[in-house]
Amino acid sequence: MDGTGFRLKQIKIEGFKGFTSSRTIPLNGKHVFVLGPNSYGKSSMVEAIRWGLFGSTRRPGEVVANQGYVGSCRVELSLERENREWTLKRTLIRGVSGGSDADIVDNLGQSHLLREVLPQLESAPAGEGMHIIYAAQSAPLRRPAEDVSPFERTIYSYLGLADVRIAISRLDNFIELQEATEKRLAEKLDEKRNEIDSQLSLLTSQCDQIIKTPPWGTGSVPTREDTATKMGEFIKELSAIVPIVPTIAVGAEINLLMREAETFVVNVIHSKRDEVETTQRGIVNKLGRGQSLLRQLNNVSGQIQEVKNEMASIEQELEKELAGETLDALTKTLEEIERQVEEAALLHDIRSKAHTWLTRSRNKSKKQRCPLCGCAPDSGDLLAELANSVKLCSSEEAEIVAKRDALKLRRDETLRLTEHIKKLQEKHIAQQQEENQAKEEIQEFLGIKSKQQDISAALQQHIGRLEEDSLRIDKQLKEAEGLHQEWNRKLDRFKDEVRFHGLQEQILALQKQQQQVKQVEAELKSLTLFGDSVRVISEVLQAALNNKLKSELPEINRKLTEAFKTLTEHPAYNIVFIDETILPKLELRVASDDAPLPGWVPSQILNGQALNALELVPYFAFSELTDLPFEVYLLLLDDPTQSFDPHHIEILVAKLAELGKRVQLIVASHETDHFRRLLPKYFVPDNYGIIHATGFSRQDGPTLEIGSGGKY
Amino acid sequence: MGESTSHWQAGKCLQTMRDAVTLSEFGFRIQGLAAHVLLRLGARVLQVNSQGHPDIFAETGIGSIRVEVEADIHGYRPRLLTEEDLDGIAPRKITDKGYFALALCGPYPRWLLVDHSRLHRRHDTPASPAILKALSDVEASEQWTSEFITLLLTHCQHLLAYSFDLLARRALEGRPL
Repeated sequence: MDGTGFRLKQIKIEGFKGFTSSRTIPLNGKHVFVLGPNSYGKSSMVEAIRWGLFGSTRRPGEVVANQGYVGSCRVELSLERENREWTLKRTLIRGVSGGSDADIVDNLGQSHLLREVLPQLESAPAGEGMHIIYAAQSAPLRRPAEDVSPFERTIYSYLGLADVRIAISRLDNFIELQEATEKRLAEKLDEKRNEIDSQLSLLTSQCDQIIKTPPWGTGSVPTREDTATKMGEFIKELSAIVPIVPTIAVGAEINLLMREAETFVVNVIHSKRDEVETTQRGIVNKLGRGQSLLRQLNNVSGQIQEVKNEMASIEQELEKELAGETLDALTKTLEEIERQVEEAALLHDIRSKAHTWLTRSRNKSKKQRCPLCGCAPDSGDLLAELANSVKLCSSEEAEIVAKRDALKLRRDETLRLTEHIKKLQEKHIAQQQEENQAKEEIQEFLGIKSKQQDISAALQQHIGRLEEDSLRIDKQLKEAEGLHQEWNRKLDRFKDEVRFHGLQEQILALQKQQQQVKQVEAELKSLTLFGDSVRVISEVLQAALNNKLKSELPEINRKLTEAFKTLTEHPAYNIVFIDETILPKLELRVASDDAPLPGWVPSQILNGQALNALELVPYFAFSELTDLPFEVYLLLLDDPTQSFDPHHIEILVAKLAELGKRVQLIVASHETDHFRRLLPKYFVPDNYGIIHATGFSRQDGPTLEIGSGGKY
Repeated sequence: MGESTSHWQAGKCLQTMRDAVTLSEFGFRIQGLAAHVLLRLGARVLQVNSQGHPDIFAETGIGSIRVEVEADIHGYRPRLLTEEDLDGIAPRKITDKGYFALALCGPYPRWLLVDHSRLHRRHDTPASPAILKALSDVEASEQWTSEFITLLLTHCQHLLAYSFDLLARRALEGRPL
């Protein structure tokens, strides 16, 4: 093998894909063929080498760690160059998707930076097409056969234009970043301008509303100073009304003046209102008190008069009842008549009983004598006399009783009237006391000591004056209310003026912001101009690159065609070329001598074997680009003979042997028999080794045996 | 508010028109008014196309001018020009001019005139008004804005009466409003 690149001497794999516990596989810098049935861990080994070199997975989210193994996931590659050995150690960082740590140490155990030892590898993409070339086995990961873009760097390196391609790539990256920056800046600018415009629109509309009915009247729009002066005068005017000293100096900021004016108006209004209302309350209280006292006095006087009148009436009645007599005389007369009534009753009783006795004795045989005188009266005369006497007596008695009853009635009435008069007199005395008390209270209320005055009249006069005072205060209150309203209106006008100035200030501030936005817009303009210049440079470079590529394409296409023809011996399509019409996109087309252009898309017309062969074509074609100063030149092939018949397998092995003169081959294949038969035919025995994959278990991973039969 | 007062007043005129017609008709009227802006700037209007590209084709003393007109009501929608849009305004001769003219209608009217040469490298990316402003020809944009505002303020009362057809016909006849 030629070249001065690194060669792979040994690989140590732990916990990677199908591998579990640490396994060391010696490669000794030779070509290695890993042979065995499918699913025996061949691909895991090939993939471990790729991952060990590049670290990244072949697709986002791909899991490389063995899921049943609890230890680390790591790969150590021993690389040898000019008898010096380096170990590239890569360990998966658990928990970080696809992340890994890489360390490279020399044979003395000294650590080095990867970019110092393997600068190209460090900057290379992880896929195929570079000095590490690789054919994936699993179909979903395979690139379309016509796509040779992964070999772009190889091609441009060969053309000596790698730097130009890198420059274009960087310019494109720059344009992408610059576009993103432009977009970000533009979004912010649009947002800011939108915000400013909306606010300006709102503020302008508010200003228009104020200007429709200008608070400053018909004159021109006042300046802030004008408004401040007017407000200062207003405050001065108010400070003359209440004994409050203004706290804001003339010429102060209008918002401060506004607050001061508001405070003044509130204070003045409250002060005046409180004062007048206190006076009014005093008057109303006095008025109420005076009116109450007057009512009380009038009430008492009225009651006194009523009692007097009643007394006079009863006295008249009593006088009439007595009819010139006295109560004592009337009582004596009544006593006399009472006695007469008693006598008459007694006499009547006697006579009645005598009549009864005589009537009863008349009917008896023995004559009865008078029980009083003992005479023996003629019973007939006596009985008649007694009968007359009883009759007469009854009549007299009735008369006396009637007289007595009448007299008794008079006496009772007289007594009642006398008692009534007595009570009225007592009442009168109490009322007079009450009246005196009321008068004293009124005197006290009026603040007079003289008792000579007509207290009622004085009180009425005083109430009259209070009522006048109350009316006057009401009027003052109404006048003050009008004044307050005027002040408030004035204050409102000032508020509108101040608001107008505030709006104007905000508009000015927004206009300043607009200026700032304009500055940023100018910067964005410069940025877009610069971006456009970069675009032009990129376009010019790309055009130059395409031109150069087009001029070199015939030779590249010749190599591609030759490799394709060798691998496939295809009867219909014997031309392979890169489609120059879609540069810088790199895609293969196949054609035939009788129809060389425009060519066909291979995946649309080739069969499986030819497509598989076409996939390998760039590796073979570009491996001949001998001036590539690669550090590690490996060809990793994972089952390259899929769909190949024995004849084409032999062609491939022959081609690999040719390629193996320049490149270290690591090839995995399930075509064990074919390879075992063909390898000795095309390879020098000392230059290659065979690893047999003879078994696989989930716990122990693949069982690998060296061709001679020794187990790893 | 000095100079911007006229902008705001013109904005109100435009808003009145916007409120009175459909969005589509509004867009056409802006196109018609753009033709009259060109007329006021001394160009001879040769085509005002309601369909196809360009929207306006005019002749200046130096060469021809092709304009693709769009109206933006809200002012902040990114624009994506199609290949056809760009082809329509691509200059045919070195003396020709091709503009994408965006009328930002709110809250006050402004025109952004972006030269074809600044757009053709960006046709596959939506451009926001800020980007278009950055790409715009400042002088041409200001000229158009100034003439447009004068046009709006002068004809504010009768603006609603100017349909697209009327505007287009008069522009083609060379009769200013």
